[in-house]
Amino acid sequence: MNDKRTTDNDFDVQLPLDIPLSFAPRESRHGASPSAPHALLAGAQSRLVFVGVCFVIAFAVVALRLTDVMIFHHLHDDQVVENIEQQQRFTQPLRATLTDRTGEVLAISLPTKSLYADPKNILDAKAAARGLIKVLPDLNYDDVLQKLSSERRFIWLKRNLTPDEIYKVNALGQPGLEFESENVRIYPAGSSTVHVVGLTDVDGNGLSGMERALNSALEKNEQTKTLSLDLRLQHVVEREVQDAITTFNAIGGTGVVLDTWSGEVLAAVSLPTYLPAQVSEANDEQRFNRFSLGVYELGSVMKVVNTAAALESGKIHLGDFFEASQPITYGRFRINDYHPVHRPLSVEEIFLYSSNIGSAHMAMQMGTKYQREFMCRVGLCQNLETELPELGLPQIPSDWKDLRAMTAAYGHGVAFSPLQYMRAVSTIMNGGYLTPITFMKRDPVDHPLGQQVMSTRTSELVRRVMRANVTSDEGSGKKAEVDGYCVGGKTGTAEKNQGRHYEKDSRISSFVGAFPMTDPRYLVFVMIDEPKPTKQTYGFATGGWVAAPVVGHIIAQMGPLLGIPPMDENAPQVLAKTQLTIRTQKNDSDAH
Amino acid sequence: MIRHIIIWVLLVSVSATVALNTSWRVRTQEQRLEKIHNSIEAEQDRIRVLTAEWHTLKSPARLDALVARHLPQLIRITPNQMLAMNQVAALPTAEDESVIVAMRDSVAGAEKADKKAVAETTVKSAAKVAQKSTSKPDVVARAVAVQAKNDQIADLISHQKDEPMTVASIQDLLNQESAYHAQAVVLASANGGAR
Repeated sequence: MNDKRTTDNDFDVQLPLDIPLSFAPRESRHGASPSAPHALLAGAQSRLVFVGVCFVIAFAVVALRLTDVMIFHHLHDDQVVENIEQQQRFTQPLRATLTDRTGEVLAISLPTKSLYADPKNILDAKAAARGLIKVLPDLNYDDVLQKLSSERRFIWLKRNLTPDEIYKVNALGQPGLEFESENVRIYPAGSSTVHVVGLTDVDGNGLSGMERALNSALEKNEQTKTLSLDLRLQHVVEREVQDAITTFNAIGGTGVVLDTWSGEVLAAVSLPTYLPAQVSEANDEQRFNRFSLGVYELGSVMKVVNTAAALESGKIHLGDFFEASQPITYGRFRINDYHPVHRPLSVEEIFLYSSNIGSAHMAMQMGTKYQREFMCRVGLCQNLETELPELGLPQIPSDWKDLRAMTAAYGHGVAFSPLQYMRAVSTIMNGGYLTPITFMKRDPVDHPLGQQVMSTRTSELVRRVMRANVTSDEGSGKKAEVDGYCVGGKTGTAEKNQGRHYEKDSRISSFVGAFPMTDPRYLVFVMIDEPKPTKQTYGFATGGWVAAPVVGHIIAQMGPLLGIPPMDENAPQVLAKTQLTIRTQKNDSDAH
Repeated sequence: MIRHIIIWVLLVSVSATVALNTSWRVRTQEQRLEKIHNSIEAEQDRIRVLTAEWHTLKSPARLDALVARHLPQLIRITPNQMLAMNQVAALPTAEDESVIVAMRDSVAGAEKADKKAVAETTVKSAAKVAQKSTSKPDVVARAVAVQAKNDQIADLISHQKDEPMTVASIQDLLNQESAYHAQAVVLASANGGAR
């Protein structure tokens, strides 16, 4: 600024149009008119300021825009980026975990990686194949070599590697070996719970069991789902039923434990079973769910329902006698007893001796219409409602003729799934409440759930009869007795219906047991399919010999497991609730 | 005028620098956050894998097979080994404690006097000594019962420690598997001691 000339000169130089003028100051320095250069200078200055302001505005705009982009828009953009990240992170949400009631994992999804090769990038196929079979011994060298030498750009080598295997493959350092993220469903309990928990397909959709029932909830992965099962109890039931199947060379069996108050299924086993991971090799017999899908003519265990119906009708009381000395002949049918007693039997004796003849007479006396109506009341007519998708429909004919009623009294001509049958018995045991069955854990209850469909009085009477069936010498369920748990129950031996006739040597032996009989909280049902008689059982393969001991074993282990305090069966307050005087014709005549 | 412009330019450039710097810092923090997110995710995946492994390892079927192979001497708990809490004698009261201390003192005294006497000094003989110190026989009986029970439990615990490592670890597993088992074992032995 101190040297104006320089400035002017510079200025003039910068304005090429004014070049002729640039010489003017030099000439005018010594005496030219001062006004003309001054005006020129003023004009130059204003132009300078104008240009300067333009630049400042331009820079300010750029700076403002930068600030805007970096600070304000930046946040906004980041949100977008984060959303995309989130989406990528959760595009394949892991399926929710399923646990049993104690928190044991029954099904869990694991993120895994699957190994594939891009053969184009493989440098030395032979070396790569050698390395691979060393770390993944289940692969075949020739197979791998062929895959690695192929012309394709993508070829699977092994699905779902363990973290250890991934590490080892990475350690090989072979280019061209890549991993693809996948996830796999693991069932830590294996074959034990497969019929309840079910399976998913490769894409993670529930195919069967609770996996299918809870599919949409599990897919959202909101929270862990807790089933009603107790895995420890499930194992006990599985082991005991399997033992019986092995001992009696049976083709299958099922065992279910039900909480009669909450309707929770604590254990449900169907044998034979299979490992979820080997579902492709499982046969139909293994896949079949015998406790809820299988529908069976259950035989004498249905006398629990028949006796309850008789007592509830008000027309029949304990101590009433029915003629059981002669078989009933109805058209071409003949109703006979397995162990004929050849004398009139009281209601409780009919139950204890499991007399078909007596039961049929009871059905006729209470009225066949009432009998069917009672069966509907305890939930045997409607389809069972529970979460499990595999449910067998009850087979209870609507044309309820006399013969039908008489055979239904001892469990033939009508067929139910074990689970549906158990709900009926649970209703009779828990004081008459038709409790909804569930495979999901419920909050603890202090009272049976559901609607009351029969009197508590009848429930108490049937309990006494069932208890007597285990304690008395004549009872068929003696082998189910467990010290301290006051068990009651009923045996059943049904001949299997093969087409149009009943097969004498292919039976279904079953036992339904409840405990403690003072106020039954737990119901255990075991059914063994086609047991063969053994020497140890003196040639018998009936419910009392086959299924009753299994129920006894289950209860003996279940009590300590669930912390159920044992009781003194002979304590007066227990006897007051469980004792029953069995009236027979003999001591009746003694009394007269 | 120029000065103003310079000041403005300076101000703008300073603010731009600050903004740029902040933006960079935010970006690095975000990268850190992303890394942490990733490591959390990796950790969660690991936890899932370990959970699956743990539950496979402690599945009842596997434990049952292990017990059958390594602990054939173990037998199943029977219902009559179970006791309700109210059937177990209550915890020692202050009075019981004083009797127990008296009993221990007498045992210690005998120990000092003669080593042979230790073998003969049973809870019963100690009780006799204790009986002298208090006039209430029911308190003594209770204290003796409580002491005997404690000894039994202590015996059981020390016995378990003597077992080889594998047995102890499997026992531990079993205990975790079911608190009831452990409870029943202790209660049963305590019950036996009381008898």
